[in-house]
Amino acid sequence: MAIAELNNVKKTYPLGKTEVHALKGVSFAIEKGDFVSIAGPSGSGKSTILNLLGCIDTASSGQVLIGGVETTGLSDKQITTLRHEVLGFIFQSFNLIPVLNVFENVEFPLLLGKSSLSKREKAKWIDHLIDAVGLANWRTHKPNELSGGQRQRVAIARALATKPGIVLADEPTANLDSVTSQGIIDLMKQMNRDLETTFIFSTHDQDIVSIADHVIRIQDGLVLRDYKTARSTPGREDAWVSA
Amino acid sequence: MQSLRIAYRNVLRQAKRNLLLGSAIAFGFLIFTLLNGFTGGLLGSVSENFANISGGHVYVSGSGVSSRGSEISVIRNTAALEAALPTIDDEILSYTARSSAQASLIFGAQEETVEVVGVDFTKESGVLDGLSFAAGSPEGFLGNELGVILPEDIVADLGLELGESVIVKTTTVTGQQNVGDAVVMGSTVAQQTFGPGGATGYVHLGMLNDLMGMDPGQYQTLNIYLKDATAIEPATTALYEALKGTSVVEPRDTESGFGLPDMAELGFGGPASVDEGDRWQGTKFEVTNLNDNLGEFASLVGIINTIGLVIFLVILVIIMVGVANSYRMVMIERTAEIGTMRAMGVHKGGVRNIFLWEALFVALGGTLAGLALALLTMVGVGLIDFGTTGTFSLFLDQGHLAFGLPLLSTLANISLICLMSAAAAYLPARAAAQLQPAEALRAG
Amino acid sequence: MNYRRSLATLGLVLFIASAAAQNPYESILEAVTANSRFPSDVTATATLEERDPEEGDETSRVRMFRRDADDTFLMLFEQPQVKLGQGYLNVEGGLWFYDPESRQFTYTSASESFGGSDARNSDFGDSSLAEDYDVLSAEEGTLGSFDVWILELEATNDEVTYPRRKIWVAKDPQLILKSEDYSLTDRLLRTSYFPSYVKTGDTYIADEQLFVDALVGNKSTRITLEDVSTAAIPDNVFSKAYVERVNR
Repeated sequence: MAIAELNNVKKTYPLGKTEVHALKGVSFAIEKGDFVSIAGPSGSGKSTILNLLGCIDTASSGQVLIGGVETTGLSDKQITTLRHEVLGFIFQSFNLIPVLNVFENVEFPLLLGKSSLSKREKAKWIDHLIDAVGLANWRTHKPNELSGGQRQRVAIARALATKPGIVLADEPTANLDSVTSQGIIDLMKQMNRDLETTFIFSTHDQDIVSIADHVIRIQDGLVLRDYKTARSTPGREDAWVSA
Repeated sequence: MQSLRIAYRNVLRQAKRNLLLGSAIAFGFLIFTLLNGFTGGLLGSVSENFANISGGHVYVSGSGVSSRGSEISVIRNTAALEAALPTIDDEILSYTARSSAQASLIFGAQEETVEVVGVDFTKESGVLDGLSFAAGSPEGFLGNELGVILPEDIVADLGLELGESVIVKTTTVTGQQNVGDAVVMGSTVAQQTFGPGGATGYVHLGMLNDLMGMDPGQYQTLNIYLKDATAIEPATTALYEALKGTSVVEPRDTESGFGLPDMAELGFGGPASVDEGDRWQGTKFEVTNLNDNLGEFASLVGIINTIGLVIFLVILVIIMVGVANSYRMVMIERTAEIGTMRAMGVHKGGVRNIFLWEALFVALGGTLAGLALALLTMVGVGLIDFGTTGTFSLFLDQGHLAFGLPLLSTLANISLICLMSAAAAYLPARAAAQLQPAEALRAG
Repeated sequence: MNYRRSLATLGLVLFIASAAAQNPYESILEAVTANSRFPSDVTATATLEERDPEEGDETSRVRMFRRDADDTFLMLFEQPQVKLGQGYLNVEGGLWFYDPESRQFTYTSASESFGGSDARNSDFGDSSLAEDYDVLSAEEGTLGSFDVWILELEATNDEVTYPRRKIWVAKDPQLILKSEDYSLTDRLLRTSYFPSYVKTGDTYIADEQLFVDALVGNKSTRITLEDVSTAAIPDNVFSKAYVERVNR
């Protein structure tokens, strides 16, 4: 079963007196554990797709299913809870909470809503995540004391804190230099493998697209190509899933 | 709780702005608290000073009508009064039974007018403790039943020495001229006192009664000190009702303000005549209290408090406008942050609460700082000794400005400012909560 | 103080032996009362010389209009200079003080004392000797060149200012020449002398009076009357308008 699915999704924004058709009928399905790249030039609709998958925006028409749940018609409370439990976010400009230090930023999503973990288990898990993103020595630093790459590592750890099924990353490397970008992508890939978390990231950087095992190419609000690479499903090399 | 922590951190993050806003609140609250404390203390000091000058909180006087139709100011039926006292027994701290007369003291060619008060010192030993002796001693006075204690300036003006005899000329309660001798057994340090009395001399009740044509056990006024000065009205009413059951009483006149006693009461001119139709049998009691005398002053304090309230409301409005404005700006600055939190699963209420908590923290910090400053100022000003002389001393507590800050109303005011600040922040907070996460993130 | 002193002056001027008379000797009291009964309307100029070791000596001159029938009077100060034009007008039970500086009338209580000096309210009230006193004892004697009755009096009630008095009464006409006034404790308070009377109509008015304070040394007051007339006083004299007109 697909962990995320879009069925003929359209999205229009009002822009002054006219309307912008950001998505003109997009359909695709993402399997659990995929490392997905949504690729396309800027303005193609990548961010809109990510917003819809992240349930921070709603489709004008069509279906958005997250974990098999149809999100259209859910209340704000239900959607907020869904976001908290199922989704993790990584942003282009990191969007850490400036008043919280590294540990607290990672901890933040865990403190929302109910949790089955004890305080100690939480602390252990957070420390593990901070270790995993390589910031063990920076636990008590505030975001403004970190470099861009470090901040994005914090954001990755934070996105994984609630052990979400899906992590959404909107142009996670756009504000980083190429070396740092590579490190971030590697880290995401590693987490994808270690935790079997589905990663969906948007990018316009061809080098990064190549790392993905499932690529969805977008252009002008439509899916141009939707394919999986050999790396992800060895038995289905060059298999095409038509848009 | 997460909202609380973030709110607290946010307050610290924008320390400079919140310090400004908090300072404005602190300053406003400082002024308001000072004004409130000042009037509260003023009323307290004046009440206490008046109680001390008047010798109590509740006063009972009595008068009868003579066969010739004159009003004679004396409580002849002391039994009725003493039977009524137990009804307020629980409230009474102490009471004093007094006679007093405006008397001429004559020594050689010198004559001075003094208010002479007769006290039963076997029952009221505390009166002597309250006097500061310039010469002589309480023991010497108590040992001489003709003894008199006079203000030292009167003693000096008359050219008297301790132990010398002085002629005391006064009128009896019925208006006869009378003269007796007293022996100066002590002098008191000259003190500025308020009221028409000016100078007061003390003698034994029996001696003054004799001079005034009264029986030894009689007196003119009974002054009651209450344990709790706030119980003054109920106690007055209870005593009045008890007396009403057994005796003729003068109806309580709550309208009277600063009334100077009429001349007849001061001992001038002898007894006033009572019209045929208005005469009564036995002793007619009149029950008055401190508030009757303080009425106008209390209403003055009321006016100052009203001004204080208006200032408070103005401060409140300014604070609310300031808070509302601040958080509108804060909301714009933190749009992306709000979007991030919403994306991570923070509910609308959580976002709103962060703003409300922040406003509450700033208001609480501001008011507490204002209160602390006000208390410091009060202690500081309270240390200044303005002296115990001059009319101004009436407003002082032993020469010091006293401040009275009712705890409950102060807490209420702090709560009100905090609540109103939160209310002012509510609209921006709600607007922040209503932001669409996607739009909010785009703003970042 | 000045105000009280003025009132004292007023009281003294009003005094002028208005007091007077039963047992065998009660008739003497009645005769004294009758002889010195004030006619209703009296006009006079009174001079007051007060000697007071404490407050200093002071001489005042007052133009006095008095109508006992209505209980009204008017006093206008001529001396000392600082009081010139000041007036006391007693009409309809109220005593008004007129100050020429402010041209205003101030109400003062009629029950107020004329105290501070040796005159008392009772000195010019409705009381009469015969009504207020019983004669305790009487003897004949002389006072200077006069043959007199010496009477000891005791008040009939406890609201009389002097509970006991001793008076020297000339035999013909029967008038008080001297009075000693005692307190309740039998202490001499003051001695009064009435050495001179003028006859107006059927009654006599003491045109010279001396009050000597017995308690305060060297304190005394002398009153002399001039231009005494018992002619009827025009009604309009007892009015505020008249007081104002006189001052214009």
